[in-house]
Amino acid sequence: MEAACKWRDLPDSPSLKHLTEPSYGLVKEQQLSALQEVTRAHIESFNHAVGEGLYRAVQAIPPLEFAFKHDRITLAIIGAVISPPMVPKGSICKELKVYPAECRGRRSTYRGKLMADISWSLNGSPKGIIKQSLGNIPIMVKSKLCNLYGLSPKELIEHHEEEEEMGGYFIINGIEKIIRMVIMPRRNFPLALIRPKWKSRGPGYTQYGVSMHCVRDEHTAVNMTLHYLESGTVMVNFIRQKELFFIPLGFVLKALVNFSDFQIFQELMKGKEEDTFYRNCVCQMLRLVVEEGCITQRQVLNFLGQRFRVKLDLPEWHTSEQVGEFLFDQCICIHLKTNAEKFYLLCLMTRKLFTLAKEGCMEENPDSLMNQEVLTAGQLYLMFLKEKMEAWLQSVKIALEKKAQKSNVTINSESMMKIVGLGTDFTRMFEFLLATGNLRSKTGLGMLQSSGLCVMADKLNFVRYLSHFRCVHRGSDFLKMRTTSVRKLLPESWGFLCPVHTPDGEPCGLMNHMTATCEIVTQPSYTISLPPLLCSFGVTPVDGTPSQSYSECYPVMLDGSLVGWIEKDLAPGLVDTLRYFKMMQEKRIPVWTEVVLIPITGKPSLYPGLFIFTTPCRMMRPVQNLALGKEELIGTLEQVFLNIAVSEDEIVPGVFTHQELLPHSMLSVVASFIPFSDHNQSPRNMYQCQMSKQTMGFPLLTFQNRSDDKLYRLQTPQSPLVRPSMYDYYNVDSYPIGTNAIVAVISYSGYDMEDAMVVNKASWERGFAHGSIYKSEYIDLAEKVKEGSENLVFGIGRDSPNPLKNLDADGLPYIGTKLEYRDPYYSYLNLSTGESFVIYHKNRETCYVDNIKICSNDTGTGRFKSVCITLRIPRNPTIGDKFASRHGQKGILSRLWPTEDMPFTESGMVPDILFNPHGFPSRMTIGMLIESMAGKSAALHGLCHDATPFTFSEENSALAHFGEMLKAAGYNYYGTEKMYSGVSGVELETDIFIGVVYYQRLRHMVSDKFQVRTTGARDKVTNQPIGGRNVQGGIRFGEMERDALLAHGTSFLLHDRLFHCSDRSVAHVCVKCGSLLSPLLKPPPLGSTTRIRQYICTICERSDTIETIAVPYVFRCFVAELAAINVKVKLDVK
Amino acid sequence: MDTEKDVPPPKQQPMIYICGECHKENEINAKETIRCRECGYRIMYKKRTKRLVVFDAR
Amino acid sequence: MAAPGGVEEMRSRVVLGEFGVRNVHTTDFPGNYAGYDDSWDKEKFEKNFRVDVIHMDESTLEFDMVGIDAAIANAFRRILLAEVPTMAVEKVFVYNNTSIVQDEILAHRLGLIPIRADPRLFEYKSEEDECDEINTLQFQLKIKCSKNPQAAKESSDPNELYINHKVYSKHMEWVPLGSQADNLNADFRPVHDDILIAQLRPGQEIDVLMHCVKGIGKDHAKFSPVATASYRLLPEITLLQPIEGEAAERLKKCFSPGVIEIQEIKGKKLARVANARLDTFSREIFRHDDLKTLVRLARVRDHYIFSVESTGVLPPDVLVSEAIKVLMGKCQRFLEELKSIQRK
Repeated sequence: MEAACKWRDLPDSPSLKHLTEPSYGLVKEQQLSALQEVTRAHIESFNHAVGEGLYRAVQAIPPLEFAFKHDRITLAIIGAVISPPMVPKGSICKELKVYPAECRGRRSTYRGKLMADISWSLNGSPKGIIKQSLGNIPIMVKSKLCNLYGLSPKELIEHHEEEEEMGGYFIINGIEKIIRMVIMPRRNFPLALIRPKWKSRGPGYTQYGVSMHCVRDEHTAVNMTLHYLESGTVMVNFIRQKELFFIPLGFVLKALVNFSDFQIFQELMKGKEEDTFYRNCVCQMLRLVVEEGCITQRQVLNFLGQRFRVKLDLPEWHTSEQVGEFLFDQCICIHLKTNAEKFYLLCLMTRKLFTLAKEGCMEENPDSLMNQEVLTAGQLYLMFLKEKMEAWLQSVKIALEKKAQKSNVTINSESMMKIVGLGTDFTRMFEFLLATGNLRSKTGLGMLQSSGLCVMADKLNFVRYLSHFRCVHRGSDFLKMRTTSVRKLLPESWGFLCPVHTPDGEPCGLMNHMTATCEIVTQPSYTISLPPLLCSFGVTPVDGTPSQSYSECYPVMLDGSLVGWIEKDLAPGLVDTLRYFKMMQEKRIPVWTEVVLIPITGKPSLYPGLFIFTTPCRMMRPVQNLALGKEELIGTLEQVFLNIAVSEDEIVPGVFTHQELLPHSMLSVVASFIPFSDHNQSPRNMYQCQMSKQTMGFPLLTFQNRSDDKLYRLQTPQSPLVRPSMYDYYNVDSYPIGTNAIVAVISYSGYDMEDAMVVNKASWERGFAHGSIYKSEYIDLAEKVKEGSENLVFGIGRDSPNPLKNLDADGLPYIGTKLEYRDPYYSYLNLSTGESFVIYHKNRETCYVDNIKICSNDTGTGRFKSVCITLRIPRNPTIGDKFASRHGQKGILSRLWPTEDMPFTESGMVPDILFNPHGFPSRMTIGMLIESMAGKSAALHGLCHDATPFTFSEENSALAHFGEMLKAAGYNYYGTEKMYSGVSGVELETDIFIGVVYYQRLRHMVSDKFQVRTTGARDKVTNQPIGGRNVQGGIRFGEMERDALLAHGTSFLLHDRLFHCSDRSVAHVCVKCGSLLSPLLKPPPLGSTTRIRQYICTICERSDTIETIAVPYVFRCFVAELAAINVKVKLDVK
Repeated sequence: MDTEKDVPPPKQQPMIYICGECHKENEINAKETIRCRECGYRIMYKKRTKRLVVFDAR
Repeated sequence: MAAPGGVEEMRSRVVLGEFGVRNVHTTDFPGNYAGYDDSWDKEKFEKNFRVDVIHMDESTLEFDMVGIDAAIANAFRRILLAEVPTMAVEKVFVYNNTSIVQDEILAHRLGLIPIRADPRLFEYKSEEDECDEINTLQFQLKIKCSKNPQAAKESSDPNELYINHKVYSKHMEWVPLGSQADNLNADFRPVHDDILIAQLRPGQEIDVLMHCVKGIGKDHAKFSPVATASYRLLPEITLLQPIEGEAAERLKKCFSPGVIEIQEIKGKKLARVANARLDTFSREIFRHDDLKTLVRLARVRDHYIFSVESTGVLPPDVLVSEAIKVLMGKCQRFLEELKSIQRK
């Protein structure tokens, strides 16, 4: 994370050079750093988690002490190591390392072994260390533990990876999973909040509170809130194992330090000496403690220990005082190491709380990015790992107790070894977390949500894949919330979150994407040297007295710890000095330091102070520091108090200290791929961000090695002629997503109404937007339980009827075979019984067998049981398929129009696509018009045009630029041409705007969606046609449709649809008693020769009253159901 | 599509699978374990054999 | 209608105004204009109609067709695009294909390769017909890539490392059916030898058999004999006033090179229309407020400049005469239809 100048060498204009130079297609020496940067937050956070983080987490796990019979046993994890994914011992193979490609191909999990050193002691005397495997846990691809770490592109290709493999995901059962980045409250920063909900926490509670998300170095988190009570006292609230606890502030303060009450009073009063109300409140709080008989620190600890013992689960030989200390260690301000630091912090928070309650400062907005950070992949991984290790110790204890119940256990190293082996295995738990994204946790890990933490990194196309790594979610709980305030785009998120790239609809504003330049701090930093350094610059330490009164000083906070005080007029100087050192990387101040001076304004603004953050997980972005002429990383809170100019001409000397690196630095990776996005109406850019993620493209280069469920592939993708510079920066040319098409904006043929577009049939026949889908199915015979799974292998049985078409001797189809509906798909045998089974192809589409992978098990001893069959379904465009340009202009292919009927230009050119001009006025996608002109001039001059937003302006207009180019090529300045009608042959009376536009084919295809039914399956109970496309069901004719028919008065149609074509049935009814249920079919009289049987009403015992009526079948069902609840239905038949 | 007469009956052909790692051709029987005889790799690809499939050039 | 000149213009010229084109449609129907005899007359037509070949080489043909209605001219264009038959690969029998090009894509690519075979020698093949020498041409593509044993060790150039790693259309071999080899005495092969079909790597092979049949562009673009066939109307540029000096220079720039010529007359620069035919109608002139009123842009409505680009299957002139034959055939059929109705 150096403040490198990576944004400096941004290609200033795109070019086709790299496609045409001879080295194109050859493997590069190094991977493209821009792409590696995309997943860096994921990989580095993971690297930290499994390296230093794991070490720290192990240290932070308190040893488990418990009594067993008469002995005291202590179990502690003293070390843990995760090894790279390897083949289990005893397998026969040349290469012991397991590579991700195998896991993807075989649908297994990419995981490494977690080994822990368990030390145990008996009655206080150490008995030794046991090495124990805790299970296999997933490893992030391309992390330090991954076998791909540090490999060159050439080596990556040798291991069946992409040349530009970026990693950053896990492979769970062959599926690539990403741990989602979720917004969290900014760690170790006291937030002044007003929440009316807090009033319901108890009598006297008010809406005021100061809350803090305390996070330790190893990411263990506890939320703590100071509540303001009407009585002027303060309650400290914290959560342990999902339970809320409240302690009066006085107790907490007294328990933390061995100060006299006067010292505590003095500390609390700092800066608010004049406030008599506050003085009374403080006295009141301290008096409360004394009233409980707690005068000394030890007494308070004892008092609290007694009350918390039940909840803390500590061995009984711990004294109440120890229990109290444990409570403070684990629950209160856990990010701080010493109790004195905790004390000073709580005093500061109390002052802030009272200032807030008396409206002396503004509340902070928890929905604003400046008070937020991000949950990174490594953080979640480590938190989960730590909790599971703690739980593992418990599980060992339980295992020991269980064993003791059954048999007599003597404690020695041998039996301990065995018992330790009984602890719960991590493998399944981690796989569950990553596969489902659901967090099963006792403590909740200090997070709001417990689901939706992981997403699948689907490789629909490269753009979508990239965006997964840049996605930041607000948290799944907010999805259900009615209020829209969390979804608001706040000015604070400028430059960090993209205003354009958010989906519309349900997750709008909650699922955001980081801007291309935004980074996430992943390393922790060592800040021990910082407090002395700060003091040497004029900060008065906490125990000293500043030269001015406290109300004229800023408190100086470093990562949530009060370092001291700085005088009001010295503070700006200190900030400048710190900023200088930060950029010059002197005095061990890391470049990712965030220096924020919230000024004293004399008005109720944000609570003032000098805040310094060096913690990981914060969002930062580079901007140009004007004073030093270098790039500086700034944080979200820092940005609010800086003046950043966007362009050169905006700078006012003395006001602006920073400048944006790029005018489009507020755009995300995906949004910056939109050409001329500054010319489009804003919502169109939003639509385009969504649509580019649904485009069929060329998602990867290793189709042969993949077994994804579904992969889309465009056969002849092209490099766009008009593109923004970021397109080249991320080298999207390796994974293109569309084709350059000649588009005429013309209303022609009538088939282009309402966003439909007409495609030239000849273009289509020559391969325009042709594509196919790869579908892989993993067939594991071991899962076919009912047929006696043990002895099943693939093969054709001797008894199988006439040699099965398509199937080889191994029971699998030939490679390249065409499979049609109900063709034999594969066949398998039961070796013990000799039975054979044939499975038939269920897909109604014709497909071809692309490849078949025969998969073994992890150790290479698997039998012929699991295969992965990859099928290829050709999907050339058909009427109804969706296309879109890069400007949120989607359209449906409505007709393949014969080329001879298409309009043609003076030079004989026939367009590929006819686009209806009505698509423009209301949508205002001027960018598309410019792209069309630019594309045309690019094609004419053999160029590739830059479409980076904000390069053109009113003065230097894009129209003039491209118009001149067209003019130079002998074309009309405005991009129009004279055309002739292909049908009549005469000239068209208007000029037609025609040019080259990059078109994308979207993945929504009719072949996946069409639904037809004549007759077919019906529901068992209601006898109505069933729904669902894959079961040949019907489409629901719902209430609204019914209303429409009623409104039209088309009652016969209504009757036909809802009765005859649905569940018409003929029922027997007794006219006399009006019952539908009573008529029964009478058995024929004995010996009668006639076959005619009669219905008889069982109530009236007559058969002449029975009539037949046509009723819906559900109605009969309904009558029967009503009868079951004792409701009689009587029909009045006339 | 019905021109499959000139292909010999499939039963006689040995089943050949190609190792995903070292690309060696392995002949594997239904009852054997799945593993490359050469390098021990655990994914094998079924080899494409000479068989007729007819396509429309459209 | 005002002046007779106006009527004449309306009858014969398409006028390009600043905001649209006027008089695009033919209006000289009999009786439409007082004082004109517009009834169709064979002699008059023969007198007016002419075809001038401007340029011809083996693949392109440019000719003028004068004195004809848009409907007929367009009919030729449409027939050239869609109804002149050629031979193209229709069925692909894939025996083996281990290349990275999927079978159906390979088949599609093979279909689009123009085949040099005179379609007039063949007959259409219907679904139920057996493939025989009269309706089918057979090609084979059998190629396998291997390592080049002579390649230098350090080389990374695939051209040197591998043999047969690029599959070109020249690798397609004609397999005569029946008596094709002796009877027709022709050499059937793709028009171009250097169409890249696929790339291979050692061990990969392609083994396919292709059947070419006769078809028309209406059915599939691969049967279309022309890369494009289109026409434009002859431009006519009239300077309404003498344009001199700097304005003349600007005027020259408003048109395609060679359209306007500047003459030095008595030391004055005077613009003159040199060759209006060359103009592409960029209508740049309308962006100059002072010039646009001085020039009249028009087109001669019955003067079609045709350009035909053959794919190489047949020479373009043959294509045009074939197109005419197709149209004649259609007319013939239409007449017969009419006759059969009259008979009833």
